[in-house]
Amino acid sequence: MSSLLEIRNLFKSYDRGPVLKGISLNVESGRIVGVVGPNGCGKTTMFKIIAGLIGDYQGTVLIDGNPPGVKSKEIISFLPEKTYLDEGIKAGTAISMFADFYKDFDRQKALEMLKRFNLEPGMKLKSMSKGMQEKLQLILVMSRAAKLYILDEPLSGIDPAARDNILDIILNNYSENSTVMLSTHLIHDVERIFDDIIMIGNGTLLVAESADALRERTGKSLDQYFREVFRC
Amino acid sequence: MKAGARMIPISYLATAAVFLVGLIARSLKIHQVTTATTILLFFAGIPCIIITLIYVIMRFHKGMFGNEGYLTQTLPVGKGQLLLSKLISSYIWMVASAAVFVAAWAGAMVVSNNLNIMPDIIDFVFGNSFAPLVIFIVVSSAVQLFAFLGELYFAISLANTRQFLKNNVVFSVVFFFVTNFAVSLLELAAMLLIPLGIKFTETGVVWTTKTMLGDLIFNMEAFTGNQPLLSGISIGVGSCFADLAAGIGLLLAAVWLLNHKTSVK
Repeated sequence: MSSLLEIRNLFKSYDRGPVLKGISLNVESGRIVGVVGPNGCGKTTMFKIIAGLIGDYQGTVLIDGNPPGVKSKEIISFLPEKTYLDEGIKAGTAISMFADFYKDFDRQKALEMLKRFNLEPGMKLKSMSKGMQEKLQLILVMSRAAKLYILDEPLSGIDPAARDNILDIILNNYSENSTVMLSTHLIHDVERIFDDIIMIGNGTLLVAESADALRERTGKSLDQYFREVFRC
Repeated sequence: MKAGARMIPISYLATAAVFLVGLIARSLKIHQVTTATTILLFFAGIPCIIITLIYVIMRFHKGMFGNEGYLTQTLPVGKGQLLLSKLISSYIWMVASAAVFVAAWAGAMVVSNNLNIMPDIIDFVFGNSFAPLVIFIVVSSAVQLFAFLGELYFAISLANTRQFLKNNVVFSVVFFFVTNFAVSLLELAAMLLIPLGIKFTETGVVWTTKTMLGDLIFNMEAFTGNQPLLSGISIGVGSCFADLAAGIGLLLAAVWLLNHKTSVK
């Protein structure tokens, strides 16, 4: 296995103070990686740096050997926490737009997923529930043949029934050579799919190892261990 | 382009509607309506330009640093290319609105039946220099618009760096006015001091290699009052070079900020 993502001594500060305090980690190809930590621990900031949305950071970030830029963006499919589509856009138009933007986008696959999750191409974003909007954005992101999928809180605000649908979309649509990095604080619902776990607390890396190794080492589930580490 | 396509043409259509009403009123000899539409047409271009300006600013801010930035800034294209695409669409809309502004003035002249006196006014003010002057105004306005968009993009990008991110809207306005003032000074200095310009004579326009400042001082004493108003006056074209240089510099600075310093909230 080769290292798809390499981060060395990553520092990032905002006005309120440092958010990332020297994080170093490697992520291999072909893994589903859970990125967990309490709110404000720096998960989203780290994702935004990898995705190329934040330029002023210290340290080294290499995605498939390239720093965040045009080359890395060709192989990263990023799902942010926020809805970035215009509220007046139709699902079908969004699919056409992504097909224009990305050469690795599979329009047929997107349309099939849309049908499977009972979304109509003619539906406007503003007429969709929060769960439907999340599904549409995830369909767009997962319809790319990317090497690295970065999914920032794809389950937040989604009811438990729809969570399984979201996980289905992720599990059924990533290739074995690609890596999924997924942040969540609903560890109990998703820990079964994680190959590796990255735990961040207060801007520092607490854990970066295989999920099985962590369970074996601690004798606890990821959720139990998370609750123990971050108990107030 | 699509969002603008919804908003700006409404102002164009409104201007066209006023012109149409004015024409009908003129043919029906309803003088109050003719006068009202003439006045409206004189001012109709202003809201068109203001709406376009708001659109240009909002599209850049929202498209690069708002929620839409999560899509645009993760596309596999360089930041320079992104900026260029915004620049091209903004430029087209601004030129279109400026054209509507000019057309509205021409429309006002048509509705008020004053179009026939224009040649006399032009002859009195410009003499044979009108056509070259129009070309000069079009070229210098085109370059000025380029510099103006450079100022806008630079100011908004700078306001979205870490130190200013909390109050990015306020800082965008402050940075724009500071940048605009600096570029205006540069433009004025270049216009007055670079020894290259066009000179209006009684027979037309000629190139001159004297500075505009020197020519101004000389011509103040030589003006007799019997020639067209602009005769003997020169205009330094250095301002065009200054605008071009400022526009390129500011856009490059904006690209650098986008690559190294800005953050999407």
